[in-house]
Amino acid sequence: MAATTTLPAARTRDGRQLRWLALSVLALVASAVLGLLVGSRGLSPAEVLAPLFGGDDPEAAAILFDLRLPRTLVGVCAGAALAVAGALMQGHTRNPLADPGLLGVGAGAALSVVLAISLLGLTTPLGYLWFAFGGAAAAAVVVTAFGLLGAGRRDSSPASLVLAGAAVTAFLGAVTGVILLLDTSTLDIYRFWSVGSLSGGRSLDVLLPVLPFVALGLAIAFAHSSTLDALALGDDMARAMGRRLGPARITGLLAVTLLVGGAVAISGSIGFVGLIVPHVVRRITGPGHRWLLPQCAVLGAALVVLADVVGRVVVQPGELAVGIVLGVVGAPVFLLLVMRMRGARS
Amino acid sequence: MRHTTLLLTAAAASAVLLLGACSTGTEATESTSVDTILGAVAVPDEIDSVVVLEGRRDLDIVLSLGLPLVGFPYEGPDTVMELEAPLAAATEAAMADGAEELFLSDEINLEAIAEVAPSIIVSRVGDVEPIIDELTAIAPVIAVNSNDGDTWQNDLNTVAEATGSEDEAAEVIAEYDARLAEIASTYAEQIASTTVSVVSYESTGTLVQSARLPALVLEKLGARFSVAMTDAFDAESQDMEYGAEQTLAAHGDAQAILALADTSDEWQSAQSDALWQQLPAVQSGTVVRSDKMVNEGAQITAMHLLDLIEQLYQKV
Repeated sequence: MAATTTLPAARTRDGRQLRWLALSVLALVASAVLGLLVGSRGLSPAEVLAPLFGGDDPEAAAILFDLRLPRTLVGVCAGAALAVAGALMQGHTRNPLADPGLLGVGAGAALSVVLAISLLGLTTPLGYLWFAFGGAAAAAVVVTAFGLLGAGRRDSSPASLVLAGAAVTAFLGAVTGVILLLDTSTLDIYRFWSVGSLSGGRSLDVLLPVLPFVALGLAIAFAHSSTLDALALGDDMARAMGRRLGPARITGLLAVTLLVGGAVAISGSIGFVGLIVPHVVRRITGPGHRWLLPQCAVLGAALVVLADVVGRVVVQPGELAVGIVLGVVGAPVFLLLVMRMRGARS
Repeated sequence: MRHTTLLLTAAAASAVLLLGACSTGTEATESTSVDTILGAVAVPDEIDSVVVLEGRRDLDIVLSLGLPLVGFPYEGPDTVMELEAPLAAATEAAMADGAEELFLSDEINLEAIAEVAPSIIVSRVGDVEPIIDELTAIAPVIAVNSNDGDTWQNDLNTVAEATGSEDEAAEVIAEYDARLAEIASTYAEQIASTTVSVVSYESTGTLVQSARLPALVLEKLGARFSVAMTDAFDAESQDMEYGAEQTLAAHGDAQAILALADTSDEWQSAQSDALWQQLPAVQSGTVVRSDKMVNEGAQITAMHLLDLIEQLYQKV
């Protein structure tokens, strides 16, 4: 009897989630269209789209194909990666305030980029693409190793991982700070990277090499969703459900590394997406990761593209980097979420 | 323990006596009172050594006047600027004469300055004002007003008056004026008929600044400015920043461009930027490249700029 009532309920729930996902995809498509149509150069939609239909305005063609299309695609990729990485981190640590930065991935990428600028004289996103990725991966490996050692057992607790991440982040940040203090010309270049941006030489040449890593990270994350649901019940319950915690954590960290490493490599350090998007999406999907992760991917992508569009028009004829827009908008939104969480608990 | 205390007391007493002796020596030197932005300053008649704190206009002034430079700031272990700085040759000559890189730019090190015991310190008022007491304890401070609207000629004359180098100042200013007049006369037709702009290029967009040395030198020449330059002169911030999409719309009316790109990557990026390549000035080859190091300085930098401007008008 129970089975006959549960199955339709589950189907109804899945149908509702599917509709939400379809709506989110529509929102992403709308953001992407805005990303192509809106910019600091006030061209009409007809003028912007004319090159797609054989129009011969070289300015419109350059704006569409060289600027707006690449930065929209970079925004989709970075937003999806960061939001899913945030959901993974929050799931693994069972901490709603966790974000991808907790693993030290961003700090590792930053140090590696600073070394690439300072020692090798690299100054473009394409130049330090693999340094950012490699630095992120190296930091994740170090944090994972310390987290496992600190736990004193093979399964590793989330607390030891978070502590290891905080310590490694602080150390890498200090080394980065020392280098920047001793090299002001590197600081001049690094600050543009650190603010997080979709423009400034971020062409398809930067996006395409990273895309397979982000796609692999997303695939691992989606395949990992049932394990995350088990971990949400606590380590003991997850073990009782047959999950092996050590491999589960390493798989999760691998996905986070691929996702954040890829996002940081193409767009620099964009904050708040990994923190806010999973919070907002949980209100739609509930805590289950089967729907949470794809929704995060779609809405994270839409949010970053939309924030970039805002940055293009808010200080015309100049532009604001997407990292600044998300910082300005994201901080108050996050505070609002915290207040609501507190209100809901009291 | 008692021995240690005695030793420490003796060392402290020696240090005080030594400092006192130094202080007496300085006070004994003949000095002249000079008016600066920060009030009257007693400057020794004999200038044996000068330290600058900013490394741009102050360094240019000291090098232009041939003052005995002993210390200046440096940019970092390895600057990414591709082109040679306008002050590079003069700075190298000063280093061959014993001038030292004392501290990182924007990281003023008082101990390093005290160690070289300069006769005077020269720098812009914004750098010296917050630490004027500490600096004055080391040496008299000649503050100049760079970046705040005063001309390099006024700043040069202030330092010249303080150091007894008025003849040298008159000479280098006259040299600059003569070169300016020569270019104005030789290229009068091109200057009158060509719309010109000074554009800082970065892959994130472009920037036009009206309060910087290139714009001020061009203004003195009577240059015809592009709309973006005129807007920058009218703007309260004295600059106009444009996103990457705006490049053609913002600078399309400029027939000649002095382009400032700091790194080889940035300049390479401009060569592959379709909007930059569509600019009429670029298509006609009426572009001369430099970098941000020409934005601030005095006579040496201004003379370097006049060479660049001459190259630009030669291309028209």
